[in-house]
Amino acid sequence: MTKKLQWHKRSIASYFSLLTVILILVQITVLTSLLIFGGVFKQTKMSSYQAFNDTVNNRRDYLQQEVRNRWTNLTPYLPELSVAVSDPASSTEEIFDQASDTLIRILRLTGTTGAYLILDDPNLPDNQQPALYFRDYDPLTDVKNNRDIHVVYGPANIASKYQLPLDAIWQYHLTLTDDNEKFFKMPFDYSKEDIGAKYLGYWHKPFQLTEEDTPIITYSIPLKDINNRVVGVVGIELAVNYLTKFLPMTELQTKDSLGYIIANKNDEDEVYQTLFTTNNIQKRFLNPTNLLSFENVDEDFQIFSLSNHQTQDTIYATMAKFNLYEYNSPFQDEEWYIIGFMKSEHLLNYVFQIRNILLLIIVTLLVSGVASAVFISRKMSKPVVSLAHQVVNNNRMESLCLKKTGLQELDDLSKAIIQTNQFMLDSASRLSKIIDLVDLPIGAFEIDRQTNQVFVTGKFYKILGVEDNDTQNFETTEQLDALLKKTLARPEPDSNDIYKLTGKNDQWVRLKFSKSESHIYGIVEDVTGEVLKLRKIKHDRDYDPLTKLFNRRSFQNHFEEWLDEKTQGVAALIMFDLDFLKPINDTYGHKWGDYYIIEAVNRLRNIADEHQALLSRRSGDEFILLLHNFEHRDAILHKIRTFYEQLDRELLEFPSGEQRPIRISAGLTWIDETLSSKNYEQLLHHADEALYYSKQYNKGSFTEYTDQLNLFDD
Amino acid sequence: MYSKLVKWSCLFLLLFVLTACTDQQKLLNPDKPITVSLWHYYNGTIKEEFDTLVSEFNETVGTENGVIIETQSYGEIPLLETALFEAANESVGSLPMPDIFAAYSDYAYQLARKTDLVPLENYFSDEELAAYRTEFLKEGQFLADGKSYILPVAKSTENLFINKTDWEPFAYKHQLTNDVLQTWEGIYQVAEIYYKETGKSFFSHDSFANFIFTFSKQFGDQLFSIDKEGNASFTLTEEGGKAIWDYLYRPYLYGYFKKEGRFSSDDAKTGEVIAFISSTSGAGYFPKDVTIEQSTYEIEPLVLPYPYIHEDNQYVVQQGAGMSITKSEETHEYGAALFLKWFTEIEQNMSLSIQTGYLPVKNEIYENDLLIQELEHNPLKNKAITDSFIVTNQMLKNYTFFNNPPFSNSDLTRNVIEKHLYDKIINDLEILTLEVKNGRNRSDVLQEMISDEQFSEWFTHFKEEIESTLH
Repeated sequence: MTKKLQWHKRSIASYFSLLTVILILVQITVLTSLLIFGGVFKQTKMSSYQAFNDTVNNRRDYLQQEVRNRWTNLTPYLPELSVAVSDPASSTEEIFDQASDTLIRILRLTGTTGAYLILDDPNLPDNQQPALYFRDYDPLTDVKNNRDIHVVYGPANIASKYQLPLDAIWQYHLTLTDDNEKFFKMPFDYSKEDIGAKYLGYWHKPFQLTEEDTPIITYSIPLKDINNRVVGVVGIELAVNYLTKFLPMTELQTKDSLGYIIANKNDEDEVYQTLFTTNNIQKRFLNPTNLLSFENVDEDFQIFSLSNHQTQDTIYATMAKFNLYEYNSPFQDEEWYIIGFMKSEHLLNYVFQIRNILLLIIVTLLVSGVASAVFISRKMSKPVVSLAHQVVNNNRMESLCLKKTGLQELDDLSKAIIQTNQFMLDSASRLSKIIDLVDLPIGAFEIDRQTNQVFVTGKFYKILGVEDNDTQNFETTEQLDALLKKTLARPEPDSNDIYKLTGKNDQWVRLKFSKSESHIYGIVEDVTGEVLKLRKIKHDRDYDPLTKLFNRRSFQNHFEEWLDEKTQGVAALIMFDLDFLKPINDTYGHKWGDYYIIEAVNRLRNIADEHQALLSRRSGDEFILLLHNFEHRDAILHKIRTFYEQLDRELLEFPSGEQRPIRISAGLTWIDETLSSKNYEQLLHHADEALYYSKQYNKGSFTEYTDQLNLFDD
Repeated sequence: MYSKLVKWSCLFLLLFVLTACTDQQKLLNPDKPITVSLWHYYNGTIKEEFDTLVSEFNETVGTENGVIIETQSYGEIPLLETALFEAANESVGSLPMPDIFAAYSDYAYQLARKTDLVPLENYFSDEELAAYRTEFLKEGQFLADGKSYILPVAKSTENLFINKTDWEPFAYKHQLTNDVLQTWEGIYQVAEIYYKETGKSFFSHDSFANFIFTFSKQFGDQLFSIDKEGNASFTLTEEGGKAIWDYLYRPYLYGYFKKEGRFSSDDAKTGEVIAFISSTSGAGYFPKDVTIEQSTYEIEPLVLPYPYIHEDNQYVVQQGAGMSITKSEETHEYGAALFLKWFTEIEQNMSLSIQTGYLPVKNEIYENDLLIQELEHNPLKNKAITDSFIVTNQMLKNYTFFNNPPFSNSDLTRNVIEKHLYDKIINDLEILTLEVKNGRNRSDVLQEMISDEQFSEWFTHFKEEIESTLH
């Protein structure tokens, strides 16, 4: 089981990650500042502006060339037309008949959608003017026999002659209205002033000849006859639909382009008026009033933002002015512009792209940096953690075995750990061996509370009385704990840290341990010998060696203990003295004398049961007996009397062969409950006094002590 | 390590397979739009409307799907036809075949012999094709495989258009009803009265060929019979020929009928005639006013069903190009089909019809009278178009609409039929003028010109020229 990696402030992982993140941040900062301060963004923006401006200007130049070189190239045809209109004998129809061929050629060669000749005839009613007006709806397609030319105005017989269809709005005469008259009147009226025809070319902004007709733009110049008298105008028409083809929206942007518009403004105005739009998208975003106002964005490249429009986007615009009129010519105040529009997302596409790439790089750097930081630090710290784990979980009794990490430094480290561990193991086992060698009955143990591991020295289990083949049952903390508790349950009385084992043989151990939070250390020592020795010393101290009775001092201790505890019953202290011991010793020797004593003692022992009697040898021939726990004094007296009767009955064979009773004198003193001042010495004295009395007056029998017993008075 | 490699390879393979298994929709990529070229012959109003619709497609469905339709107009059918044949023949300097072209069955049939066309069934489901009027769709089923090669987009037939403003006082004066104009006989008679009273012509045909085809059909005759190989033989009887002679050549010679302008509507506009047969698609050109000798007055239209010889044999021509898809590669073919489907959706189809006078092609429009309802709600400025729709809608119930099945050189023979008698009329009228100028009696010359001998001579020439065109 491996522990999860955790982020600690001082871990390898966090150091690595921090370092990597700092590195990345430095990289990003350097990269960003390089792009920003290096002017990449600005330069890209400027390039976009310039390209936009160039495109619009190029388009303007192209259109202007078309205007100059093709569309308005009417001068070559003016002489023919002048001749045609100059014959005073010709009727209008004849003039038109003569001019029709020229007009068709104008239409074909200028590549426009219409060509017209309008004559001034003030005599016609209702603002009508004689006109011959041809139209080709699709100048890009050439059709044989002029069959694609419609007659818009003019005599029907001309249409028949060329087999030309009449236009849907065909009329014999052109009817001038307020809406369309300018294309005739402007150049015509001005031509009365003495200005050259080419300076009087007039561009009419988009209009319709009639309500049903298609929107057109016209260019008209005055037509003079050979006498230099202005007789009408001649001009060309450009259908707005057709002109739109010269303003390809895809030029600005391949997709979703906002395209071009044509607008005009008067010299002093700041507001542009839309002349015509070129696609449906424009109708959606342009202000319905068709007025355009702009805010300056970049002076150098003439980039503006459209301030009144109907979308949320920022719409950029740049414009180029057409040079339609010569300086100081009458119509020069009318300025026509081509305006290109682009959404910011398209115009600044590259800027956005660079920005996005930068963002992408930053994000990629960050993500990959963090990922690699995590990865590397994991890769680095994982083996360390795993190594630590292996070391921690290793059984300390065994040699360490650490897996290779694949990292040189770490593997060196683990090798060192293994060596150190081995060394420690070796020294531990050496200590064990030494302990074993000196044959000290000592064992030690260690319990690691965290790892639940148990460490013991060689003799530990043996000392605790565990069979050799049973040791594996005590290798865990719990098992050892139970073993120790079992031992601790049997403390040896009157001694510290010594416990008796529960074995077949009496065995004692000394068990000492110290506890810390993580460990329990302990030493166990076999102290059986010591305990037994102590016991013997104690015995020797307390017992008479011959009779195995309490000696005088020991009796006193026991007596005083009893005295302290005594609670009920009747008790008496009786002092015995063997009669004639000295002569017996002298006669039969000490050995037999000892035998005699033992025989006497055996009889004394039979006076009462052990629980009611406490017997001791006071001196060579003196014995003290405490009888206690009797109900009556009579019972005690009865016991004593029975003893004396017994003595008389159980005769002892003397070395001489004689059968004689053992003779013992005794003095008895009652241990009265009511006696308050009874101390041992006092009682002993009383018993001694009574014995003395018996020796004197009642040898071989016993005397009860009383106050009246006055030995010395006698 | 190895297993990782296997995993990645599997993923890669899966992605590859997924991208490979795409439907046709996926052929197109909005980010990489393809250009689908389309050639047509439309001009004037219909071209404008057509261009508007194409722009709309390019800006909407086209943008979404990545298809840009690039149109090229050839102005009129013969020019388109020439360009198409040059492209199909890979002539020097010719353009490559367009992805879509406006097709009449006769030249589409010829083209199909030189270049591969795509059967509509490849991109249209049976259900989708069933939505088109069967008789329109049938025109494109000219090959032996029975598949459709022309998608009808806008069809037309012919109506009788009358200058109501001038007709009504005349009719009232002579106790004539509109019904009299329902038969060729009636028209002839009225024209005779009109000519004799006013000295002007009454009537004009826009298309001679259509008249000859329709009239002979009504007469019970047939110009051609076509064998299984698609070769035609000229089968018009002499009686049939004579009827045509009597009802076409004769009135034009007498001046009862007149064709001076490029279109009959031009003659009506200049007051040369007050009635003419013209395509319904020409209804938009019906003049709003008449200009005679520099003076102009407004006129009202009157639209009547196509005239017949006898009530029991009401035939009328069905024409108008459809669209054919040229075989190229799947992306362009799919893009072409996508456009055509969109273009013939109810909304677009109706819009085109209303603006141009062409007939819509979807069943639903006819079954639910959608067009008539639309016109009731939003009447057009041009009353002639509205009236033409109403009349045609009635004709669809009583008339048999026919188209001339294509055969080998059918397009050339059509030209002969269009021109042969027309040229003779123009020529003979010039001779007549000259002869009269030279002092001959007009009716004498006329009698000679319309004599049976003259007929036989013309008929023989006519037959010879057609037969020489056929082979």
